[in-house]
Amino acid sequence: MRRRPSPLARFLRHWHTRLGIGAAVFLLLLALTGLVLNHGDTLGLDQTEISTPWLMNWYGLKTVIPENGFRSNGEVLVAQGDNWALNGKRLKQGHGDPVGFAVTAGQHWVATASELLLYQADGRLIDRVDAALLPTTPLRHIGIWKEQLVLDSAGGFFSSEDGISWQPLPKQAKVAWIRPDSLTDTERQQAMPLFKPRLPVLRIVADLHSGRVFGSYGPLATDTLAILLIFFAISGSWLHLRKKCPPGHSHSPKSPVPLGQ
Amino acid sequence: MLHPGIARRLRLTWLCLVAGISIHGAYGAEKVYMEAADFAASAFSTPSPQTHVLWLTPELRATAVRILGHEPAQLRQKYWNEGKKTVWILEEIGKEEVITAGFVVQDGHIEQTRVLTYRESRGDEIRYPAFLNQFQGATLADDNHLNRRIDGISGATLSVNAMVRMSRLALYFAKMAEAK
Repeated sequence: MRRRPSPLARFLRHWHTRLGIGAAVFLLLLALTGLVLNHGDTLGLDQTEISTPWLMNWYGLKTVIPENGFRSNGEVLVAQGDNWALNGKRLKQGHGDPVGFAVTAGQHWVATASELLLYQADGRLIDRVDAALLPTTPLRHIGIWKEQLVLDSAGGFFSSEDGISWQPLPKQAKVAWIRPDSLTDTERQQAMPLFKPRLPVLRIVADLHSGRVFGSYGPLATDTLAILLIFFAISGSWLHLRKKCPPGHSHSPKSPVPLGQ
Repeated sequence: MLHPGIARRLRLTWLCLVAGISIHGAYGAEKVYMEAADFAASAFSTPSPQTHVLWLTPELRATAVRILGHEPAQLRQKYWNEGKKTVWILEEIGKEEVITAGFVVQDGHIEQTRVLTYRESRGDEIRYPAFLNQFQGATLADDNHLNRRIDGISGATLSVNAMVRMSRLALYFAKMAEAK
């Protein structure tokens, strides 16, 4: 005589099948993005940036070109947050809002409130002089006096040739301070490609994996899927074990009574 | 309609699952264990050691590339010295973030090593003396590798590798600074 399956078994079988088909699509997405995340560094995806307009729109990122920049010896620094451009070339190590820019003896100095960065004309970083080697911080402006770099800081005015050893600035020194200046339309047009929003590919993959790419409800959807997977694991195991060893029968592997028949 | 017993059990399971779910955003936070200037000062008897600069000439840069496996971040390296003792503050990426470490080199061997700032989300076990003491006394072999093997830490392999690369670079820079 065939035994009727229990209500719980019927419930689990019913939902295990239906929910499983729906979850398979998301499971595939999770597996693929998980694989990419695991090998993203090797594939260089953390360094590869993407600026596809519709994707940037989806993230709510827009191109904003700064109104002002710094000019020194005919060279221009345009900056916005961590996005810095020297003569139309992107500076990768930019970090924070610059308070000044000066070119002395072929060396390009960019000052933020807490550090000084020295670049070559081609945009290569020569050195980063942090607060420990500066006479005082925060820095307010920088300027040029007799081909020396001059700092206007909270603790006074100082000059240096190399950015390492600093001397107090003589009182009679006439410093050419470099203040932010309005950019011309041509300069703004040149800067536009550099200030387009962009995101690392790995960040987008991580957002797909976590569901954050779908906004605030994305992580909730991913959480629901995670809960469903736990449900599948439990219900699948339970149904399998029940099929192998039906209640009231011996634990013989030959037990012939399949469930649901 | 579900059996009330089954429904109750399901509700309980659901609650347990929801309560058990943790949102894990393992984002790294910068941990400063010691300021660079304090590390430099601690290595010398004078309170304000002299700061020097080592320019990375094409030859130095080429060797630095071989040691690091990539271009050095900057072309000018600051260091402090007193007699034959030099102090180097170096930075290298572990997995994704930069690790800042200090090295005291005397007579061609590492006298002291310290992790100054750690920014990765995991692997900061490299800051413990049990790991760092392995570098004490290490020298540079002819092929610019350390003259000894440094035992790794499970789960911190990339940070360990970064420390080894920085120690080799510190010894190489110290050799070049002494030859100046």
